[in-house]
Amino acid sequence: MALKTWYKTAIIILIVIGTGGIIYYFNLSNRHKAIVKTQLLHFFNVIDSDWDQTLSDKSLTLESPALLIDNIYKSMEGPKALEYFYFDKSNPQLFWMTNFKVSAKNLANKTISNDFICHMNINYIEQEHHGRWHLLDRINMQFPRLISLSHGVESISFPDGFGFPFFGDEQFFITTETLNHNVKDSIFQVKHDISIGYTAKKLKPLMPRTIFMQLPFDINKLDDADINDIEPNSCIPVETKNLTYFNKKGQILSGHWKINKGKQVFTCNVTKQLSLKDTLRLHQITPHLHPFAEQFTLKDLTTNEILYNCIVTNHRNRVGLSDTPVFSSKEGVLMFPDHIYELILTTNNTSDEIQDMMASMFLFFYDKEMAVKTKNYLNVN
Amino acid sequence: MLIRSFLICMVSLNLSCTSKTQLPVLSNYIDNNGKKVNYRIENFEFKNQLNLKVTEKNTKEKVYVANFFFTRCPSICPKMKTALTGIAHTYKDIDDFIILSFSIDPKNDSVPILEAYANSTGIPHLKWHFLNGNKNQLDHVAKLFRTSFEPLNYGIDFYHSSFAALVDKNQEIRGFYNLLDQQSITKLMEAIDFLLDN
Repeated sequence: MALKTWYKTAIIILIVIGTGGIIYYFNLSNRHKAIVKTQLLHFFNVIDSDWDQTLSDKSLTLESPALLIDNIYKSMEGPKALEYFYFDKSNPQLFWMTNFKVSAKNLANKTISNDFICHMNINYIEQEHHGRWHLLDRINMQFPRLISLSHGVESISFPDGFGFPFFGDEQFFITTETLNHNVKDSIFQVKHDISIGYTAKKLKPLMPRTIFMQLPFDINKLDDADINDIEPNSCIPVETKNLTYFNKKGQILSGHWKINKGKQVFTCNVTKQLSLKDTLRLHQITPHLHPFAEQFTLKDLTTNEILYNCIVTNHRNRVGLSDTPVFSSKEGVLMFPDHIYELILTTNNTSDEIQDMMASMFLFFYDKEMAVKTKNYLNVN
Repeated sequence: MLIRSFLICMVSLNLSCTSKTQLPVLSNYIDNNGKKVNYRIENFEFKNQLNLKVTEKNTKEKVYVANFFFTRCPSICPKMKTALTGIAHTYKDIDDFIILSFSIDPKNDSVPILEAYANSTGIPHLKWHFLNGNKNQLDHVAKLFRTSFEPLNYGIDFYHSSFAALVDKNQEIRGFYNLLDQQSITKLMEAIDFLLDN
């Protein structure tokens, strides 16, 4: 009898928890639903939850866990997977990363459209990376993003003779996230293949730095309905919890905002973000944009010179980016600590609804200080 | 509490599936001549929440996690505190394991304030030391742990890292782990187990 009562109580508790869980889940945003769903599917091994890693003498290939596409997932909303990785924990040798690629495939190992790639980010662990080279003044100076590939720019190579130095037993962090702007009537799984090319041959070191558009917003105007009622070059943020910043004037800014239908032009002064202490030579820029971006420019306002003008190609018959060309130059261009730099973004939202936007540039400068360090290191090792 | 127990349970399940791992020694650096210089985490002296002196003698033959925080921190410290409380609970019966949390706001984080903060974790004082020291000492350990911090908003806030360092029984750093990331916390606990067993 007591057992029967206990059994009934347990069932009631389970029903209450289950109902509460379902209500909680259905009240989450699309992004958070994807996070919860993916974690549960991976934790209970309903879909492949493992990362696979293959190292050859030229590249490291990482195969992501399976990610379930069961809905429309705009930028930053899709199922994603994260992992910490080493090239070879047992090998402390100095190497150089030279190229990066991400591609999408189905479970039959067949390459599919890159429309299912939102972004693939690799971070270095700054305490470890800068610590090993004793470059302590670089720690906490900027977000430790090594590279970001995204829809429209799924592979990049550094200019010949340049690379990012790392040790075989150094730890990195990778995130890869799915995207689905168009397929509404299917449920399927995708995986991402990420390839990182490397060499042991000594190269010229590159130093990454990220700049991105931040636009001011009014905390009292956060609804889509306010979009026609905001100041020029300001925005309605997608969210206020993440990617929100404050400038010296006390303004609140967002790095992920909504764009209205039709054409718009946004500008952002990035001199402070760059914080150039010396004259640096820029060799590579990888842009990160969302669909409906049309043109993305880095301009030296002091000389009125355009350093990089990215003309974006959007898909014609569906939402998505076909091509966002990178900047790559062996000769490089100089950037100066006393110059003012600006990002200019033109968007053209040809859809019949409000869309979201982010606009970043991942810059790579020649790293003079690291060149001396690597040269001395290789002389004695 | 329920969520925390669930997370600890998930971490334990993950741990049971994970093999032992190698951990490179990270308390070294390449000097200006290209030579590798090894060092240990030593020559520091702080006061803990009980006003007791804490030096490298307290960490001798112990595995420990070290992080930087301040009690008024509105952003990342509460999440770091939750993560470290979970870890401290997991290793509460392991005498060879401790946690050191260095305050980067020693002017405000006096011994009584640190004591109240420590009490709020429910962790025994000798398991988790909250430390107050002078600027020189703080700069010294920040350098050893490869981190830095800078005041923001006229000293009301600080920009600092969410990474904690894991130190082995030889006082050498064996890894840096992000206390805001569950996957990194799982890896930290795997590494603690490895160092306690080896």
